Amino acid sequence: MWLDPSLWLQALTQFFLTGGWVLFWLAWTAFVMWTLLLERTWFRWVQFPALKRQCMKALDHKTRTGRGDGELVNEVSGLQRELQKSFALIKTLVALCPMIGLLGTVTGMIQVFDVLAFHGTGNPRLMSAGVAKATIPTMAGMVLAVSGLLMYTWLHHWSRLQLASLAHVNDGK
Amino acid sequence: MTTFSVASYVNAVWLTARNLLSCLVVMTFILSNSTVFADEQAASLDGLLKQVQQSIHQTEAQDQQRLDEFLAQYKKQSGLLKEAKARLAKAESEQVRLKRQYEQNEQRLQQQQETLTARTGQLGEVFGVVKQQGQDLSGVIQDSMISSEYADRLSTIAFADQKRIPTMTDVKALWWLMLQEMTATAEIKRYQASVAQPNGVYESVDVLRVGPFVAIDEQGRFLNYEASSQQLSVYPRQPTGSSVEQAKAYFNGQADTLLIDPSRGNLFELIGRTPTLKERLEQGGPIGFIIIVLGALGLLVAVWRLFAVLIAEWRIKSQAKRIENVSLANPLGRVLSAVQEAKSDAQDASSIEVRLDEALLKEVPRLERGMSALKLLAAVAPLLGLLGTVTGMIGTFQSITVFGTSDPKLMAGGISQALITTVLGLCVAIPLLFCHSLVADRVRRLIQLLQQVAFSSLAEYMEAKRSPVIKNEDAANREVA
Repeated sequence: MWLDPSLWLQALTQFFLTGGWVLFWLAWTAFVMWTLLLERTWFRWVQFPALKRQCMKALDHKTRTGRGDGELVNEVSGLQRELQKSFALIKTLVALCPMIGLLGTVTGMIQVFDVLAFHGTGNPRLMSAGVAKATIPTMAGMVLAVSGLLMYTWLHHWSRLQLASLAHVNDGK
Repeated sequence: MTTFSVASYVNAVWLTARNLLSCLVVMTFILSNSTVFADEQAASLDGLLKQVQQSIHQTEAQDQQRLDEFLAQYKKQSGLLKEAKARLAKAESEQVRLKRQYEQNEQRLQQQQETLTARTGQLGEVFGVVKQQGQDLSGVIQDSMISSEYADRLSTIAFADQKRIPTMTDVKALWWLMLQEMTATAEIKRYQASVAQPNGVYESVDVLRVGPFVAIDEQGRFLNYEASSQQLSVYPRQPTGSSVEQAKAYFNGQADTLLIDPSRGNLFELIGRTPTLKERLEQGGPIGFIIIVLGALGLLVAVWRLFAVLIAEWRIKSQAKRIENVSLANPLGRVLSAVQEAKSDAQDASSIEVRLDEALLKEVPRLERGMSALKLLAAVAPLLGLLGTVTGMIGTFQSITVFGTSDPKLMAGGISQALITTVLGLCVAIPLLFCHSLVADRVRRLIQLLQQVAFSSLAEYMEAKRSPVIKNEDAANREVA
C-alpha cells in the first residue's frame, strides 16, 4: 500500500487542496531551498575535494618554485567564495518558511471570518475548511524550516571549518 | 199621611222591585224607564200596580229568557269544552307519539353519526396524508430547479394549502408530480427557458440542466434558480478558472466533465458573496493602502537592484576574462585602472594597497545601493501589518462596546481589516526579503571577486618586481575571510 504511487499522489493532491494556495508558495520555497541544500551537499562531497586538491597542488608548486603568489591568491579566494556560496540565501529561505506558514494562517482565518459573516456561528463544518487552511500551512512551514535548518547548520558548520583551515593554509604558506 | 204612606208604599215596592232585580245589572236601565213611566202614570195606584206587576212579569220573562239563553250558552260551552278536552287528549297522545319518534330519530342520528365518524376516520387520515405530502412536495418543487422547465407545477399542487377536500384529480396530480420530480432529477436535459440576464431583461434561451443541481446556458454561464420567482437567472459572479469554458464545451457536447454544485446552488451563491481581490484590498483600509504602496516601491527597488547587479556581474566577468583590456564602464575595470595608476605613480607597496582599498571602497556603495532601503521596506511592511491589525481590533472592540457581541457581522469589518493588513504586510515582506537576500548574496560575492582579482593582480605585479607581497596577501585573505 505504501508503494502505490497513485495513492501518494491522491494524498498529496488532497493535502494541497485542503491547505490552499499558500502551500504552493511553500512548495516552491522548499524546492528552491532543497535544491540549494543538495547542491551544497554535492559540493561538499564531490566538488570540494577536487578543488582542494588543485589548491594544494598550487601551494606545492609555490613552495617548490617560490613563485606564483597571485595564482595562489586566486585559487584560495576562489575556493573560499565557493565555500560561502548560497548559504545566505538558504538562511533567508529557512526564515521565510514559517513566515509563509503564518501567511497561510492569516488567510485561513480570513476564510473563517468570511464564513462567520455569511452564515453566523451555526455552521462549524464550513468553518473547519478555513481552520484547515489556517493550520496546515503553518505546520508545513514549520516542518520545512526545521528540516532545512538542520541541513543548513550541518553544512554551514562544515563550511566554516573549511574556511578556517583554508585561512590557516594561506597563513602558513 | 196616606199620600205619604202610598208614596212610601210605592217607594217600598219600588225598593223591593229594585232589590229583587238588583242582581242583574242590565235591568237597571229598564227599571229607571219604568220608574219614569211610573211617575208619568202615577195617576192611579192600580195602574201603577198593574204596571209594576206587568213590568215584573216582563222582567221575569226577560230573566227567564236570559236564563234560558245562558243555560243554552252553558250547554253549548260545556260541549265545546268537552270537545276541546278531547282534542287536548288527542294532541297529548300525538305528542307522546311524536316524542317517542323524535327520540328514536335522535338515536338513529347518533348511530349514523357514529358510523360516519367510524367510516370517515380512515378517509380523513387519507386526506391528511395527501395534504401533508402535497405540502412537502410543493416545498420540494418550489426549491427545485426542475420547476424552471415545467412552469405550472406549483399551481397544480396548490390544493395542499387550500381548505378543501382533495379531489381525485388532485391526488392523481400529486403522484404524477412526484414521479416527474423523481425522473427529472436523473436527467440531463436541454430545453428553452426564460432566463434573467445580468442587465435584468428576461430572454428565452437554450438551457442545459443536470438533474436539480446545475443549469448552464449556451455561453457556459451557470444559472441560478430563484425559488421565489420560479425563474432562472445568470449568476452575477461565475466560478473562476476554466469552469465556464468547460461548461460551454459541455453544453456543445465537446467535453464530458462539468462543474456541479451538489448543494443545489448554495456553493455558487457563496462564490458570489466572496469578496473579490479589489474588495479585499479595500477592506485593508488606509494602512493596507500604505503597505501596498510601500510594497510596490520595494518591488521597483528590488527589480532595479537585481538588474543592476546582474549587469555588473556580467560586465565584471567579461572584464575578468580579458584582464589586460581595462574598461572604465565596470567596477572591476575601475578598480584595475586604479591599481595601474597607483603602480605607475607610486613604488611603495603600502601606498598601492591604500589606493586599492580606496578604489574598492568606492565600488562597494555603488553595488550596495538600495539594499538598505530594500531591507527597511521588508522590515517595515510586517510592522505596518501589525499596526493595521491593532487598529482593526480597536474598531472591532468599539463595535462590541456599542452593539455587543450579538451580531458577528458587525465585528467582521474590523476583523477583516486586521487580517488583511497582516496578509498584505507578509505578502510584501516575503518577496522583498527574498529579493534582498538574493541581491545581497550576489553583491557580497561580487565584492569578494573584486577584491580577489585586484589583490591577485597586485600580488603578481609585486612578484614581478620581486618585492615582498606577504603583507598584501594577508590583507586580501583577511578581507576574503
